[in-house]
Amino acid sequence: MNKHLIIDSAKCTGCGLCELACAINKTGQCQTYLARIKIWQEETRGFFVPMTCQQCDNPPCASACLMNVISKDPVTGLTIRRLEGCIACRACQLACPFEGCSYDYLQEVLVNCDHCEGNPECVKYCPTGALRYISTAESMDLERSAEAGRRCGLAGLVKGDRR
Amino acid sequence: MKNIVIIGNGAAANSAAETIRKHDFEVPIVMIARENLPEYSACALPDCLSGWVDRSKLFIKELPEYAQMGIQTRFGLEIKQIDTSERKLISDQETIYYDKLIIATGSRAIIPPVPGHDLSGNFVLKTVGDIDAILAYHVRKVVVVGSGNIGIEVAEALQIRGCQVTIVELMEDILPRIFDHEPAGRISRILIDRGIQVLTGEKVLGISGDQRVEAVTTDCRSIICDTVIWAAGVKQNVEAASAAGVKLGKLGGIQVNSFMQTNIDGIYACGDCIESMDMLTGYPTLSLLWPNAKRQGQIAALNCLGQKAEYEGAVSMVVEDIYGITAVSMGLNSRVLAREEIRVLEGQNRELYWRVLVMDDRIMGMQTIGISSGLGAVMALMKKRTTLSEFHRVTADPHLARRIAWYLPAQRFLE
Repeated sequence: MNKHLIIDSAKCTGCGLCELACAINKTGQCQTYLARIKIWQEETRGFFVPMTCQQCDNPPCASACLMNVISKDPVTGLTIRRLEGCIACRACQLACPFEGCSYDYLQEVLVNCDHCEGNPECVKYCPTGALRYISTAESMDLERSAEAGRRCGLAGLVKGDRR
Repeated sequence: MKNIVIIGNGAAANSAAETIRKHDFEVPIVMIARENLPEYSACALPDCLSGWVDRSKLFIKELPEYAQMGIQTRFGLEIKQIDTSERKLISDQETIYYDKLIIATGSRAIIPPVPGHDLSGNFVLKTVGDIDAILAYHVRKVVVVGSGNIGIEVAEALQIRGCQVTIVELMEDILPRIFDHEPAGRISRILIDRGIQVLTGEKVLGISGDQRVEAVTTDCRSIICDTVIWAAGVKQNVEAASAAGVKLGKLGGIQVNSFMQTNIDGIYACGDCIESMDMLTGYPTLSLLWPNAKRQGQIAALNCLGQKAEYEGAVSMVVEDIYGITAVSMGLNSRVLAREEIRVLEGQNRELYWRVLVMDDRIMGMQTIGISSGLGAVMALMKKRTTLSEFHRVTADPHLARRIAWYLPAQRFLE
């Protein structure tokens, strides 16, 4: 996999545009509960964390699946599902610590983020840049410069600093 | 060239075969199974009975796929004897030699030997053949004996098909091995609202009828019915293995170490037929669940190929769909932990109900009704054996909580 969906929760304002964009793109309905990305709203303490499928290397949802419909795509590295085999038992939802599996009430199956075939809708609509879809090299670059900035006493000033 | 023989064609056997193929393209694999069918999901059988899942959808593989993966199949063959000194398997038709053997024979549903248990109209639900038999028999009034997850699911499926259903359970609550008293009562109320008769604390004494089942006699009453479905437990298929000298554990399964090795060199076992270790308590347990079987299959396969892989232990994880309401149980319940000192975190909000069992500041089990989000985090915390004080330390600090954000959905259950 060469590109990742990077979530920077420090920039998230909890506006919910990513949820709406996802739901509209995937189901045609303007309902946040149909989205495959969910924002964890910690309103009293004032922070918001978007949560979605992390595309794990050895996904616990795949080993929990009762119908063996979840697998890793050998080319893209995404966690993919054979939806016609899903019986909506919700075992994958129970196995995933990241709330990555969401129930699609229209098709009556469980779904996860599939990066919209390499063009994620949520990233296009994110107004603050909390969601980014960048390559591994680029994200490592940003991490490295941010860490360097922190060590020089420039915490929060360097581009890409997540704190 | 060594070859690997797998007895069985269930979750554990297929996951073992796939893992071997993933790591070694050349080693010959032979799979032997009694049923002449490709792999199917046993967990979806009640859904198939209710009509929610098509019969063809049950099958996970197709027969040609085995050959494509380079697996030789000997389906429809029953192994009668295992010769461990010459490393061969003897059946009625042929003799198969092995270098490494993986036993994944699984389990079978039992019908207790009460009077009338051999009349026509007595069924179990464990294989696709049982589904066909039940559907071919005109079921109108049915008694389900036993209320484990299969019992409840079968009762619901037949009720959806329009049958009159009675559940008879020996213990004082339904789902006694999975849920505690309070959640079990809530589930039983859902079932009663839908018109299923639930009789707990009753023992089936016999079945009466002339050739066909006509009534079930319990110690309290006699119930008129035309079908009896036994969901009263399973027995491990270990006869051939134990005759060959493979050691059995106290619970009746094959005894294995954490590398899935039996006491005989070159023989591994996995799946329903073994006795594995519980992840949380460390005691031996029979884990009859699909995810555990798949994991054990992988471990057995890796050790068979000479790679050291250790099994972390079985953990129970049951998701029941009761008329659209999700009931979840994970880990242990308070009946198992009866002798320990446990703390119960309980909460409810109208239809929703949750209950977390805490021992030594660690989560040992959780049961919920009507909740489906936020449970994955609790499951992960339970498996990681994170203490609750550590959990609260992280979630109380906004900086840490944002970094370890997956803790947050579990917050409302653990307060």
